[in-house]
Amino acid sequence: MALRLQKELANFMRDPIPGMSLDHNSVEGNINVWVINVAGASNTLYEGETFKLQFKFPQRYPFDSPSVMFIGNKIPEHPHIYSNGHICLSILTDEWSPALSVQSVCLSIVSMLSSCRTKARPSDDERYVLTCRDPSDPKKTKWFFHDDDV
Amino acid sequence: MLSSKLSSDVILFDPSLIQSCLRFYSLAVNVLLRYLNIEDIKDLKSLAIKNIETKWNTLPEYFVEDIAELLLFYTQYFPNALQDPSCEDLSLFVNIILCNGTNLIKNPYLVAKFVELFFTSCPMVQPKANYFNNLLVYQRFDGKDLVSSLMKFYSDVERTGASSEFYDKFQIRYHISVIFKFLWEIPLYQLAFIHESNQGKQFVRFINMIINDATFLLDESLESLKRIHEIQNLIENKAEWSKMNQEARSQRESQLVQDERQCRSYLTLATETVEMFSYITKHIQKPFLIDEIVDKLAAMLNFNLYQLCGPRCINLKVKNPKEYNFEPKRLLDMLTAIYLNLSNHERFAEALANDERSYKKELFIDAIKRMSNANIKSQIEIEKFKSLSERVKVIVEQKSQIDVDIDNAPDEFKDPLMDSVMIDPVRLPTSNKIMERSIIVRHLLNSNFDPFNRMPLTEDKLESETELKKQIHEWIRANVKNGEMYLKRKLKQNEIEIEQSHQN
Repeated sequence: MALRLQKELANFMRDPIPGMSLDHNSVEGNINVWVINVAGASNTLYEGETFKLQFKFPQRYPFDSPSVMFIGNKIPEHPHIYSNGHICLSILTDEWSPALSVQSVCLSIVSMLSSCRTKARPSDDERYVLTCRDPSDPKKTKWFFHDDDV
Repeated sequence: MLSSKLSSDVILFDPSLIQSCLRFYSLAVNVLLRYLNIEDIKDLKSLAIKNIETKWNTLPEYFVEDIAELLLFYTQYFPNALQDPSCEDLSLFVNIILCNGTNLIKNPYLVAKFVELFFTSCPMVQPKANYFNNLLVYQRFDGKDLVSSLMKFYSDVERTGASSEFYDKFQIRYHISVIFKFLWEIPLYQLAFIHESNQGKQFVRFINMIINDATFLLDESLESLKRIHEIQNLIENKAEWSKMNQEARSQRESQLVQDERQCRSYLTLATETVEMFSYITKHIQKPFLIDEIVDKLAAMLNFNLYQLCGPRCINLKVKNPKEYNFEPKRLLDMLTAIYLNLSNHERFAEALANDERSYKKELFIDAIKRMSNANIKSQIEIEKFKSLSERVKVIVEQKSQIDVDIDNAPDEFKDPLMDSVMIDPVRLPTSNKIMERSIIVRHLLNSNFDPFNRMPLTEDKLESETELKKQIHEWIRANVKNGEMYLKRKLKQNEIEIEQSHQN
């Protein structure tokens, strides 16, 4: 697993995804948790905003998917992102494959943000945030995926 | 309420009733044994029964269950009753059940009742049942059957068939580990343990279970300690706490209660399991050093040492550790004892070095500091630990040289998922990608699709890449220092990984 993560780290630095940069302090000492700074792309609803995206890699990574969520006090307002930072995205759970990577997850999240037309929280935001199994780990939630338009 | 309890006590504990119950059941036992073709208890040579007749299997369970229930009741509430002479036959019967376990009685929960009975009679649980306990322990047999059968049962309860099996097994295993702790102090039984450890597979299976349990239980309980620590801090911080709304607060509070409960029971079990490890390794080491076990063991030890001594251990500081049976010093003492017990073996040092997840040289330095501050180990033991840590450091350095060499391999020799050099490459038929066999097998264990295109894939569809395999092996021999040794070790490792994947 160490080899794989190092390679991913190197790839991520070499071909960064536009608007995303690694917070180097986060990986120092522990390569299993990454924090990525996300800048809202121009010509999207999130232009000028910045967010923090956290990746936590389980011991069985890449056989198990990473836990990915937004952290900090600014969580993007999006119909698939809950106000506690959890993201409703199928490749993070059911449709995860070990051939996916940090970069492919990041790309999905960027495109999810960029294609958003109206800023809103998921309709069940309040209920979910109060009742989710573990606020610090979205993977404990049994996700139910509604629509794929945004 | 009280008066009705007292009146029932009078009836239940009436000496003549007790006496006739015990006599009745000791006769019943003699009848039951006829079904096993045992005519006279006194002639019994060994407690392990070879051929079990079908007529035994036709008996209803409650014949046996009643006996367990009655004896359990007396050991718990009226141990003096068990000094009756008829207990001799009864205790022999209990031993026969324990020595044959699920071979004799299919229902593991019924066997578990007898285990519980033995557990309750142990001096650390019910000192007053000492007479009955002595009967159980010192019956003219050498103890090998008992130890062997209990060990087998310990592993077997992994699957009981009930929906609650995952939680039931911990209860049963807790009983067995307390029994083992007690038996270990008796020389005769210690010999039986050592004898059993030389018998191969079953003992390996047993320690594999202890490692799994210790890993799981410690992980869960330390995680819940961290959450308790967090919530306690939050409540402490009055300003933050009062800012939260009622609902959020009560949610945190119920989480706290749940964590406290979980932590208490898991930690008790975890401590017992780790303790079992530390005393067994004192006299038995060989089975812990085989390839299937040693790396897993080292990873478990390092990870927990990291939890207790690493930079994050501050998160385990809770207000009332005693209440959750959390004794970090004792836990550290037992964990480091396992390191010390195995420290003379080169293979163990190698396994510690192989662990990529938690091993760092600083970890051992921290651990040594803590051991001397907490005053749990003698100077000699600390020196021994230091020398172990030095040896591990050297091995890690050698290994990293090999890693540098091997990393220069061309990209087509590397597995696309894990980026490690392939030793046994196979082609995935639909995506046409080449992967390391042990890695794709591990993936297929949980999911039956090709990771690159989500097409259905099963293990038998993988095509060996013999030509590429030969090329890679040649390259390693030519370009890596000690390449031949490296290859051999890797091949063995792969074999174990694949075998373990299949077992799961």
